[in-house]
Amino acid sequence: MALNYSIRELRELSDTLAKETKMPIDQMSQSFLKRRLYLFGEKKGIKRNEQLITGLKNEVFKEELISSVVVPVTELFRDAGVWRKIRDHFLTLSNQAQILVWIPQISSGEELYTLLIIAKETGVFDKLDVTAGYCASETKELVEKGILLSKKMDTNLYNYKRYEGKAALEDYIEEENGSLRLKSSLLQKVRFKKGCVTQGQPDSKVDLVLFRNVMLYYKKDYHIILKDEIDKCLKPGGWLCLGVREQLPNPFSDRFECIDSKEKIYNKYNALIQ
Amino acid sequence: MFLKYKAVVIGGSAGSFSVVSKILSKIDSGFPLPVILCLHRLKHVRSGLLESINLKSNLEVIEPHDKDSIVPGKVYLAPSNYHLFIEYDGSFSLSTEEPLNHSRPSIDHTLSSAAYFYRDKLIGILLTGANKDGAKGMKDIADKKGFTIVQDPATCDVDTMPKMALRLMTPSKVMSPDEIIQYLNQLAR
Repeated sequence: MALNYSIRELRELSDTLAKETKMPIDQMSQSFLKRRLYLFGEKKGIKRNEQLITGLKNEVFKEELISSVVVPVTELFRDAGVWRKIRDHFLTLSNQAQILVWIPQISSGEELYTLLIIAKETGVFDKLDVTAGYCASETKELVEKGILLSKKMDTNLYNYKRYEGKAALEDYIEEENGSLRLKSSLLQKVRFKKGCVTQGQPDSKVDLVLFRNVMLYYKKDYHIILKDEIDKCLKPGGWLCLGVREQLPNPFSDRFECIDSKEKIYNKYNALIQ
Repeated sequence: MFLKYKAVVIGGSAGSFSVVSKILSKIDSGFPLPVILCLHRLKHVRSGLLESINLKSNLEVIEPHDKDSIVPGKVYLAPSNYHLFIEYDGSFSLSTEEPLNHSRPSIDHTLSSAAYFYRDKLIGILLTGANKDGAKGMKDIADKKGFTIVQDPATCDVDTMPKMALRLMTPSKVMSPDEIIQYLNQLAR
């Protein structure tokens, strides 16, 4: 029997985990955290709460735990419509000297690579500067390896087709020791920054924040804090992309305008125009 | 009006679209409970199913956003490529976590989380389908003393899903689609 908690036990444990990991685990939605801890417990053969707490003294264990509460994306170009909008946005920004992007929390890297491929295809790759926040070193290593699961390739190819890519997806993929991996040269425009959710903030304000399907795992009240942190890092006129079933918490209309309700793209008001 | 139940949750896969459409076209327009639908669907096709179900439904059918509240009398359809959970505070939560039983949305996830929140105040219905998803969720509802209905395998387009459930648990009722409609409508009267 793996770990199972009552709501009260879970609340106490999430407080402890947040302190130990410096990650806002206490702000995660409880049913989500319970599921992730259950899976982690099963994988590591943990049967008692004490084993989990004691394990946190070990840095490797701690990193593994943090990785386990970050949900992998597993497909490139998920929600093709969003990426077509971002492609168009990149074209409108192409006269800028630099295009700054912040991905507050990467997981398995597909969203990051998708963005980089789009930058290549729109000719803005050299202007791109991406800050990618990661929670655990294991996550960063996974993203740097760029390994693609062969069983997901049909999905990736299908998504790329729906996105209406200019080239062939295979142009960005190489084979190494029987594994498919995304070309590491794509990462030259990425600076990784350690920090969960909004802890790894960029050095200057950005044109685009990609924060898709991350807020799902946090409590509703915490969304307001996340929105404010993103607001601070986004240039006036900049875009915020959420997951297609996420919403920016109200009130947001004083700072943001939803410019695509289907794809959940928000535009930060330009204070000068206001 | 005193109601014994607080919600209805329905799972279905292959062949379930026509059954769900029939149920919603015959359900009383004043049906007082929320109806939560988790149907296996194409994960890259975001539109079409909702519109098709809405065409004949007597109740408004919507795809919830993450953290939306659950309102009586509305029908909620799990969005494509997301799991749909009932959170501990009674709102919806969505997730892109790993597929379960090769499915996202997974019926087991929706049913089990609803069982945990609504306990004996839940009616769980499992319809026609081609894999084992939903069987464990139905067992969870039964374990929490909810009311469970499995579609009669003889009336299913594909009977694998109901049969897997019947192997794992004993439902409160095994019913045809017409009997399910009749049962739901008598709840409100």
